[in-house]
Amino acid sequence: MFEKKRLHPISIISHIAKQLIDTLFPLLVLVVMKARTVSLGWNIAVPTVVLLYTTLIGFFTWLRFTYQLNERELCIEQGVFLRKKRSIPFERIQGISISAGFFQRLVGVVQVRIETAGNELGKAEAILTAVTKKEAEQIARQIRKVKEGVVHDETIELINRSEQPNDIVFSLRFRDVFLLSVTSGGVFGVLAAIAAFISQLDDFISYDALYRKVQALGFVRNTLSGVVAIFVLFVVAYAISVGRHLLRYAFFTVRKQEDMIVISRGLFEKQLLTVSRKRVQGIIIKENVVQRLLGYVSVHIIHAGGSLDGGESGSVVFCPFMKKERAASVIAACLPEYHIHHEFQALPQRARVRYMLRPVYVFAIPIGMVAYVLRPWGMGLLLLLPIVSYLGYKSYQMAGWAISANQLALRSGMFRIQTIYMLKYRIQSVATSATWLQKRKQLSTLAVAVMPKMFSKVTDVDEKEAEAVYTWMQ
Amino acid sequence: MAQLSKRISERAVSVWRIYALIRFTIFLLVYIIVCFLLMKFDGPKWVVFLLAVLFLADLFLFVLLWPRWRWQRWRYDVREQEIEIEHGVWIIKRTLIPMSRVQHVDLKQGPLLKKYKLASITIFTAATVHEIPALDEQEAEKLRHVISAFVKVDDRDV
Repeated sequence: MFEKKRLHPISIISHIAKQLIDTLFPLLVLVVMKARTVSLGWNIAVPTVVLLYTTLIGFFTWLRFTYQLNERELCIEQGVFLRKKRSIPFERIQGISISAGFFQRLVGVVQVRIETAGNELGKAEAILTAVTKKEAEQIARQIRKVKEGVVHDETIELINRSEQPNDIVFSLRFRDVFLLSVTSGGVFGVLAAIAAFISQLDDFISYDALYRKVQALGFVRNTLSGVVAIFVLFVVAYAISVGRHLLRYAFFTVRKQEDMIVISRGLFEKQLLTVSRKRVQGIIIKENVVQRLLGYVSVHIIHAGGSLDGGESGSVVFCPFMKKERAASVIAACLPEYHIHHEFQALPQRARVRYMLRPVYVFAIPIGMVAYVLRPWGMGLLLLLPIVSYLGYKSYQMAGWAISANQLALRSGMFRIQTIYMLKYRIQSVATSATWLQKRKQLSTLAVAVMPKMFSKVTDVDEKEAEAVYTWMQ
Repeated sequence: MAQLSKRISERAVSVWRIYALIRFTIFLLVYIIVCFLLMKFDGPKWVVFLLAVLFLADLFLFVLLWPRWRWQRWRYDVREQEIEIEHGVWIIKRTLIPMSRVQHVDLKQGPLLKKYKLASITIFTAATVHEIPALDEQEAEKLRHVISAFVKVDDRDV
């Protein structure tokens, strides 16, 4: 019974595919960009070596990975060059999530992620990439036997039950998935993607040649072609981001089953996630600039014990995209102990000027430098400074706090407004702080921590009000 | 809010001065190397003077004055229901940790702290870590026991 087992060989292919997708982009750049300067051998040799290497590593990773289910613990041995042994006692296991990716579904196996409370945040303690459903069931049963069905033990039954439509609390229509994908990055998500793209290209642009061209052709025409190139990159990066969101959030459904919240999603890779309602530590409602204009928000659950969906540590996407007005009723259906409202205590007026100046301090130097380099036309960039100042003003208007019964809500953010609702008995610590400058204006920063290592703060709250929140905790 | 009642040991000032002095010595070595290189390669002389001024300011502010200011600001209080901490010279921060959130308490004592008969207490919650540095040895030991006696596990907690 306790023999060492290997994963299903399909995990070799899924491993190779994953590695290749990761290297595809740099590889493409390498091959295409260098094509004119280096001999044809480059175009064949480099990809071949990469492919060979990935295949070999993929094979040996599979060969060297064994797991063993004992009475009280799960033992895993892995590592191609560096051998690693790990044993995870069942008592320490906090959750199992089971998913089936594209390759797993080809041969009818599943992936099992095992979470413990003490692990590095955001990282699963162990991932079994490909085991048969029967095997997964057995692992879950074994763990349940030891833990006497305390946490997440219904995962397997949930997989079988998940097709029932009756307990659905929320599901995304295709139209919403599309809208979400289009708006999700916000303006800056898109810009960040471009920046990443450009930084990849950095090595391949010859600055000497560029400089000579600038002298030969005149600055304006070059800037123009630069702008066109950036625009093209912008569109490509944006399209990639939209595609990724489409895949990620397709068929997003939330179900409520007794004490569990079950979230399933994904087009190719179907993911099933169970969160025990008892382990929910708080709720975050996020809205980026674009989504706010349309009146949509996304809702996240803070939960103790790793990020089961591999996203941000400690928070799980509950509803990626929904009308703001609907959020309260959906949350009430799943987590009735939270009271979602919009009556926030605003910040005092003397905080306004600080909010308007702060982004200016931050952006003045980088914007000034770019403006100077691109002068005379670049000087137009200085117009961005009043804009960020206006955003600061907006963020001053949005920020605030609220206490109702045994719940504290904090709201803050600039490009993305984030409202966090926490119950008193979930709050791990509360702190008020003030710099000398804040003290002079009788302002404080209010910071609250909830499990697991999630911090939320509002800057420049009235000193007396911050004290009130502080004493409310006592 | 009322001022917190307890203070950490005044010997903390000496210990912090020693720490600052160690850091300062390392900086000084770097400073001397930089000056030497500047002389050798005919660098601008004013940089040397600027650095000298900075180093004197550093010595005066962060080695002589800061540890005392820091000690003056450090206050804490341990009650049955909660622990409170207040500290900071430039940013004054006051933290409240409900006793039911405390997971465990550590007592730490490095060689320098030991020499001065001091110890620091570290308080862990599920999300945060808080330190009360440089307490008197006996006081720290007492505090550790007091806190673990107060800690009760809230069954609503995970």
